Amino acid sequence: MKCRIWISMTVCLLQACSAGHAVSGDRPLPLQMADISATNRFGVVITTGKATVTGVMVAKYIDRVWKGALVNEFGVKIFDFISSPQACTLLNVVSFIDRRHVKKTIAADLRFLFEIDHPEYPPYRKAKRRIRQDTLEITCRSTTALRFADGNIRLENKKRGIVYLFTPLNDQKRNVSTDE
Amino acid sequence: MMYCRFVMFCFCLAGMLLPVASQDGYRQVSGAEAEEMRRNITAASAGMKTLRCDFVQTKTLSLLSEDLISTGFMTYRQPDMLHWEYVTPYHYVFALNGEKVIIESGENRSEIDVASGKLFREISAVIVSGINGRDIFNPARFGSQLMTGKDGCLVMLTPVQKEIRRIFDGILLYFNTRDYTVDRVEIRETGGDKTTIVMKNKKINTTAGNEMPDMD
Repeated sequence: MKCRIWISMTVCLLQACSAGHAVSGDRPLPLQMADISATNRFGVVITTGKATVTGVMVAKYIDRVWKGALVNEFGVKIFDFISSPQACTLLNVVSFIDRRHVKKTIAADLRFLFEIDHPEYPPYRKAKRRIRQDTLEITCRSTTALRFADGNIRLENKKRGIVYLFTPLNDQKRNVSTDE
Repeated sequence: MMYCRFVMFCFCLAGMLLPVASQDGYRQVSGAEAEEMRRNITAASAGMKTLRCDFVQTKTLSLLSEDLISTGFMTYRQPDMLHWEYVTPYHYVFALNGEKVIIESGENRSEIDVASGKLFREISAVIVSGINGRDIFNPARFGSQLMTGKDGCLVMLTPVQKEIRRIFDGILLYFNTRDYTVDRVEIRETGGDKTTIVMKNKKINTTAGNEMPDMD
């Protein structure tokens, strides 16, 4: 009897391990927006139909969430953000983008960029991922993120007409590969 | 008894107000002394055709609980051309010429027309004023408080425009008394963040401007 219990427990354990392995083995092509062990810096250009915002984004993985800030070239804050697979919030937003729908759109787009590789983020499974001419393309509904061979990342929100271009700044620039 | 209470109240009030009026060993000036300081700064900024200097920028981000230190050099040419180049920890160029902005990051070069970004222009104008000292005593733009200390003089600016005031709590310009140019700019933001730019190796009215990109 004891032996049967041990065998069934071992079988359950092995099943659990193999299930976990299947998830990681099934991992889709990652965007690799940022490095969780470093302070990431990007040159950022955000273009809408009406205006262009430029600046430098700093992002760091702290306490299982991404915390970051977009500042303009002289260091003046445009907004802070906190992103997790469940939500993204903008804080201390500069007056000219401090509108509910603008904040909501930017927060959703940043969440897409920083969380798309996280299995708990709903679009993780839904998103279509493919590689075209050395460029990784991840699409979910009206949002498309492109990771180019040089490490630059472009996100286009077609519904809202916003394009974001992130250029990893020199010391952070990683030699990312689209081979998976 | 009543008189004693009044005197004690006055002392307490003075004690509360004193730290507001002083800043890192600086004392507020007024009257003829303030007027002379204002005249010296205005004359120095009017005579500044070009400026080239190295800078160390320290950005305090409250959310990330860390200071981000960047170094680089800047070139300013009258009236509103600015070349701002970060060298460490990354290479990044921001060049402003009126309403055109050029950004160079690695091999990427973007040219952006900021004509539609009124607030962006205002922020840039505030920064350029901080660098060249021009227009800082324009009451339509800033409220100013003048102070003096052993290392030079300090002008504390408070933006007048409502939109700018929502971004900046104040801008502190530290001038030296040798040539009345800015040695340090401290930008205090409403959210509690602070940016300090220390300018070194200043070259005024030399051949600065060679770094200016062609924006035509």
